[in-house]
Amino acid sequence: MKKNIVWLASYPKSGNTWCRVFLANYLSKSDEPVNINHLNIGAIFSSRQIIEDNTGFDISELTADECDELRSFAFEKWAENYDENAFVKTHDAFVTLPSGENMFPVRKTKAAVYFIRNPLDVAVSFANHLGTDPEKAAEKMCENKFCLAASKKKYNQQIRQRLLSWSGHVQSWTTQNNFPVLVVRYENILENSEREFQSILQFLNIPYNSENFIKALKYSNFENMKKAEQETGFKEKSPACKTFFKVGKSGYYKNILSENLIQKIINEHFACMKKYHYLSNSGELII
Amino acid sequence: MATTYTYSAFGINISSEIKIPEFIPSSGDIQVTVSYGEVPKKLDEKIINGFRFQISADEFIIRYKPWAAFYVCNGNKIIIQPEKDADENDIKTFLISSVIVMLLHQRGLLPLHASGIKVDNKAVLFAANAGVGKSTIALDLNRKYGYPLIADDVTVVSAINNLPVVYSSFPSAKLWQDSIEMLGLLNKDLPFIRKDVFKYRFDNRPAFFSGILEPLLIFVIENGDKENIEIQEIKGVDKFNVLRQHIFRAKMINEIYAVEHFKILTQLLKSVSCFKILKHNNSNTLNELSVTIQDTIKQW
Repeated sequence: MKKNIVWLASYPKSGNTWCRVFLANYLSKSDEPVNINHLNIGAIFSSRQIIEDNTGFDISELTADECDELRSFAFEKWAENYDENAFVKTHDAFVTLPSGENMFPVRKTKAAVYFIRNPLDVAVSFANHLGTDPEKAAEKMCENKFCLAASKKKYNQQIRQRLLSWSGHVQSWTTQNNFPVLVVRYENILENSEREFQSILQFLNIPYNSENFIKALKYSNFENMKKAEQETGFKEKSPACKTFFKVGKSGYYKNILSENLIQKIINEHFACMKKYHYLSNSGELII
Repeated sequence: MATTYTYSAFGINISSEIKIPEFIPSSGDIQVTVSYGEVPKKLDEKIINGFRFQISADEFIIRYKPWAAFYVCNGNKIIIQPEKDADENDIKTFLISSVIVMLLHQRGLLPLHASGIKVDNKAVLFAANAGVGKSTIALDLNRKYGYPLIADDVTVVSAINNLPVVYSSFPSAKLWQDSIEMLGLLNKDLPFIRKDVFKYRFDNRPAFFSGILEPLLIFVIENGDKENIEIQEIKGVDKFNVLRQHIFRAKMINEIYAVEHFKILTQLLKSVSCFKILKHNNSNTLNELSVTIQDTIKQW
């Protein structure tokens, strides 16, 4: 059985799109930058269209739990269209169905790249994404039942995604044993994108081509992505925020979050922050 | 003997053991029966083996776990096998959408993913993907200009003596909360289509026309990314290709009924004009869209 699904998984605002822009440009045969609105790099696991197209069901008649039951089948079938890596972006936590069965098509999964970012910076960026303040964003990052696209009011192109809390999300992906996972820190991409993107290519056994790599690195530079968004807009931007690519820096939270909120986030996610070197062994902030 | 109810929908008279209040009661000759019974475990000569469903040219099985299994055959019979403690409303919801559409395909009809209104004794259809606003635009045109409604989600087209005809469906619309707000409707007494599915069932019986109509115009509505609504006539082979994409459950049935569909589409496209509308998502879209469509209808 062909195992070709590659998960590009993350809590929102953690570098997933950045990597997708890099991969889209790296795998593109064109010398021009890939249009950020037509990345053509696989799919998103919450895509209503892919689920409907590959199962035939009208999912607007189904509950969110019933939709989840279709996802594994739909994406296994979708991945058959790809010979090699079938990239799937997801913000879902790695959870199972209420029945205990897999929600993710693990038997056709090759590997996952999991992007992690300092939750203090995520809180700032996520607040912008949701069109809310950092306090509310941080609250959502602490909710074990937090979901995206759960609106009961209108049709959504994406189905509900269960995120769990920020720590719960990280643990769900990094402690499962169904397939190999490469954990990539957002801050490491900022520090040395060449090294980090190379490690992703190596992990996924994608042949290295220096010309393509240099081109992709340039086109996926944060300032270039920001400029592209200014020129053409970005369809993946949440309607609640003005721009998707806003600051992109590490440690920016220091300008925005109150001491109390910083402490609250640290208390809630202490173990995970320590494990991924956002806190020192003695619990001091590193970034 | 089980109680049966007789209805008319999609130009077909139906005898049903399950009550379908959304359909119009009828006393005509029965063409289709809906009954409770045992659904075959699988089809012997299946052409498509999908997720919890199987299709052959004349048979269809689908299992909606944990509610019921449905068996549709020869375009004239639907058998429902409910699971223990199944909710009858859930069963009915599946029956009057995806399940009955498979029966329509088996009967050699062309079910389009479209809503529709009646304009001067002719049918005007609005084909669109889910979520674009088919139901909302038909209801808005009814409320603003008084055009009777003929379909909400599925509109059936057939050909009689090589002339295309449109059959009305049934007087019920499925609406999201934001559509209800846009249309200024009250939702406090409206039921959800199913428990935990947050779409409302809206009975539009007083505004509904039941019967057969000659088709006049088809508007294909898509979400655009411009500031204004754009409208353009679709001609030639594009017309065929665009409409083919709006055959209901086209992905599920693949090309099984391609010959029948081709025949009806060809007849239909000889008789109707087709416009593509690219709408935007600003709050005033609905009004602007209705005015644009009304202007086009009036010029026609």
